[in-house]
Amino acid sequence: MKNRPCISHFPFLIFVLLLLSGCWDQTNIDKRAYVIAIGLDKGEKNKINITYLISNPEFSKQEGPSSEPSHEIITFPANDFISAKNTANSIVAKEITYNMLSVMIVSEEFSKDPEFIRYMYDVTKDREIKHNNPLVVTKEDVSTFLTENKPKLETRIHKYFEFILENANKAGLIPSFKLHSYFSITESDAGLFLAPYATTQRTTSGKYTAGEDEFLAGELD
Amino acid sequence: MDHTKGMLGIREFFAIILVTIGTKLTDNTPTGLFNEVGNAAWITIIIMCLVSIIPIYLLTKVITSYENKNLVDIIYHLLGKHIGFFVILLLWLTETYSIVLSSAMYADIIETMYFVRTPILIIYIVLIGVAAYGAKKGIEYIGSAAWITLIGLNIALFVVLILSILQGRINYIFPIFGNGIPEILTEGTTNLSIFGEFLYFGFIVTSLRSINVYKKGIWIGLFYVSIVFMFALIGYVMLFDYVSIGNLNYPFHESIRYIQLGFLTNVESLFLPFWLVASFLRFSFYLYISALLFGALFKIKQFNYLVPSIAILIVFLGLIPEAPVFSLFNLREILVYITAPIFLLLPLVLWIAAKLKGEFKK
Amino acid sequence: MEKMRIRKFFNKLIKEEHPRFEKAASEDDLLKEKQIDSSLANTLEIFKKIYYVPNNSDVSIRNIVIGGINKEAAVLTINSISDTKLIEDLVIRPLLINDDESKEIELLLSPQVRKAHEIEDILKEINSGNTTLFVDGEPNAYIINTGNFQGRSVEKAENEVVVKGPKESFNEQAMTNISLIRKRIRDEKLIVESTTISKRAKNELYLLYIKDIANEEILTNIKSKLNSLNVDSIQNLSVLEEYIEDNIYSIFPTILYTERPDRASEFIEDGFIVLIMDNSPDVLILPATFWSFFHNAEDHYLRFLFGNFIRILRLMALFITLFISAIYIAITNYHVEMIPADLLLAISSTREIVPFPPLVEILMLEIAFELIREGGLRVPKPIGPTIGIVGALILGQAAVQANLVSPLVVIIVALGGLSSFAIGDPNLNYTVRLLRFPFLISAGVFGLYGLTALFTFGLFYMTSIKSFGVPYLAPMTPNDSTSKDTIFRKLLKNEIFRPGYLKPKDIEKKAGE
Repeated sequence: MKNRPCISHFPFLIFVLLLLSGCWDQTNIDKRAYVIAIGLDKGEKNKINITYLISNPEFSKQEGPSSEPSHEIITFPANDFISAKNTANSIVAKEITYNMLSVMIVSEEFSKDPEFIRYMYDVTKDREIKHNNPLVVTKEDVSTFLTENKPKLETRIHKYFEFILENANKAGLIPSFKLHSYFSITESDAGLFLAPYATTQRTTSGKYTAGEDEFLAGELD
Repeated sequence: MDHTKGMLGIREFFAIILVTIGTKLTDNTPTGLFNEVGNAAWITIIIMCLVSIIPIYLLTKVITSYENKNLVDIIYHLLGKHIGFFVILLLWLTETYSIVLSSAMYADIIETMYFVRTPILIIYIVLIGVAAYGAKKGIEYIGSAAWITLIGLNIALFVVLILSILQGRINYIFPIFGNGIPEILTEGTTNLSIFGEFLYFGFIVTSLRSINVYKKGIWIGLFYVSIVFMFALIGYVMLFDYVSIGNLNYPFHESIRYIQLGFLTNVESLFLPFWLVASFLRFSFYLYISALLFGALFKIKQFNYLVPSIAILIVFLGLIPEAPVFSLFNLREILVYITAPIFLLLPLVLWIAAKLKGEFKK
Repeated sequence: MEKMRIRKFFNKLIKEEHPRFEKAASEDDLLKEKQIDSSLANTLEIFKKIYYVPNNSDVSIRNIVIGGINKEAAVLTINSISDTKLIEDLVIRPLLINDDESKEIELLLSPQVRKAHEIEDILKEINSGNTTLFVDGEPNAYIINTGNFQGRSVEKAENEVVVKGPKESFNEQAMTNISLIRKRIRDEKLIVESTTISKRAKNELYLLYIKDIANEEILTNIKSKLNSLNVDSIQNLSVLEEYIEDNIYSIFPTILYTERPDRASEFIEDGFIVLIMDNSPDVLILPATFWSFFHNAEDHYLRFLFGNFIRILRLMALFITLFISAIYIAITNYHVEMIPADLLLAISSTREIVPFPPLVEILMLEIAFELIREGGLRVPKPIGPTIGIVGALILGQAAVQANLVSPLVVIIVALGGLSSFAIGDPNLNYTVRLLRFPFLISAGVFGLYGLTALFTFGLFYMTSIKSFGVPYLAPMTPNDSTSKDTIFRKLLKNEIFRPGYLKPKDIEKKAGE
């Protein structure tokens, strides 16, 4: 009983020491660059072109937006988008993080590539990419799509993607779009995954299907 | 003054059962089931529960016929000194093996899912360190801590389950029988190790307030755990479909990463603390049982002083497997095949021995 | 064990001086054990020596001659603690104006007169303000109650304020305090036991309990603890608390301290034991569980719903104080994905210009808040209101503008700091405020993992604390089905049992019938 305190304090001290030598996973909130959208394009020689849309936190300041733009778009070639995070640091100063990712965009050309699914599986390797993120396919290259796409009102770009996808889905214009369903449908080997299709190009053909509302339920079959 | 004299009441006992067995649904136990029987995994739990009734019934029968004896004393009494020693040694080995495996797995979960850059050694030491502190304090404090946190843990778990069922797709649970009824039946019995811990609750029977606490607690615990387990498996399969789920190592953590709670889109850190508390408590109990069995083997009365040494041993053993995700899964398979027969046969052997000795006539 | 070691250590430190004191004390002790003899001159000589009379200015000895029987007598009293008018009326005048030769001295004095022989007893009486009459030729002294200590009257409770319910509080006089309790419990079984607990100052301690409810085992435990005390002086209960505590180094308090007589009586009626001492404007209640610190007198005065509402608020305050800054650190450094996107960007943008890491930033502000709080407490009353929380907020505002801290951190720290005021009990309040820092650091090191590890660690520790043999978290765990008053209070008509963890002799309150 008498020397119990000494004995019980000792391991506790070691414990505290270990605790104090920590901080491995720590990254300050202001030392990260928040990627809002990742774009994947087919690159040269088995590489892919990655486009990042990085949000500018400066824009959220209460004193009103400064002269800086609301977001930055960068495009660069990479092997996959795990290593792309580090490659991007040759352009972006802060540590890239996908914590705020709100959409993944793939160009139509790339999505038709047989290698596409291989790249997509990298998604499961990165714990920062949540499977509840939307997957969108664009007609043109993603880098062009992102630069061309300039929402007038939603300058806070992360809101734009969130709202437009949600409301378009509600209205029935686009199918359910989660990355998660992409995986589960592809893996179960029988289904067809429908992704939202987006473009910034105005269609010139201008052919409207006559009377697109005049169907009865089940008539399409 | 404490009229409970450090004894566990039914609530504490029930809390320990839930925490030790319930946390299994958050590690890779479900993955194993899904791989074998597809989306019918939740039915295997029912089978397991039904099969487990037999050994648990026999065990309770044996234990209740003795007053103030725990399973260790009963084993020695019924099987004799030498066979008893061998049996307890076997139990201690499987138990310690399972602590090593599961703690390594939990450290791996924390590392891969939440703290990617932190060295696994440190994570492991903190995990086992806290657990060892609880185990050193004694079973009544593990029980108390479990009971206090139980409400929070349950609420968190139910929120996760309800959300995953709401956000999942009901048609993923069909076909109901998955890979077929024969598969379900065989897997239901071979994977019985999920409920293997029920054997260990016999060792703390002398720390319970009365034998009735044991009897009631163990049955309520078995059914409650089975139901929760069942719902969890349904939730997982509704969220991920059975093919994807076989590829996910830790379905619980994948589901809390997927589900959304109102305006919070990423809620995994919200549920992480609850899961961690449950894990700490679980390993506390395991370490306590391991120390108790070791103490029983070598006649050490104050076995709680063994806890630190066992804890250190476990940390070093647990660090051995490389690429834990795969090796642990395979090592766990071995454990499953060892534990299931022990869990099925030991109570039977004990019951027969007791019957032959005429213990039930008293 | 700890106490012994500390004492040994101190004994070593003052070893050289110690023998001299011991000698002086022993000489005095010899004198005290004597009895007074019938010679007045002798007796006075002894008392003058004990009291150093010419030097000791407020000790007065009046020599008189008793009228009628013509005997020399002396009246010894300490002026500052006795009522001079009372002495005049009750002692001196009746003796002087007497002309009846046959009357006995006892009949001349007031009815409350007592006789004493031993010097030690007489000293004790004089020291409590009573008047002693020595008569020549009689081997005893007459003692008349004239004690009159200065002190304040019964005032409003200052620390445990309630909106609804009695407002009286204890004051520094033990007798008043006991009377406040007796006023509430008119029960002949309410025992006021007194013991002397210190050797030199002779501090008196009163144990209050209800004979047929309080558990004997706890009582003997406390008494043996009190009897084993070996100190010269224990001025008040706050000091005594440390002497009788089970875990001195523990961060959790194990003895409840209250200034409200209504609360004390409530506890006595439940089978707890209450300690009262002079010079303490409060009482000690033991054994205490975590819940007794968590509860507040008002919980039961307010209507059922409202009472539980403030319980929830208090629980929230407890958690907010403990965890909010730690959670902020954990989330902003480790679990960023949890924050909604807009808030994340807002925090990020305001933090960009702050030069310190978040942990340093929040620690700085936390310590500043504690400093302002402690400073504000000690500020002389006239300038008090100007400083205080307002000052803290202004300081925070200025710190934000100077880019020392980010605005959200000010909100976090202020919220945590203000919440801590909702925890009424001063002991628990300190516990919570101190515990914040380990949590903060563990969150800074390991995020939510460290936070949870420390929390579980603390939980194991908390369940293992015992206060006079009662588990700290009883009756929640180890569970007993008697008293269910833990986080929420129950309907009064359902609270029919006294707390079972105390093992009271009579468990039923008989309220339900």
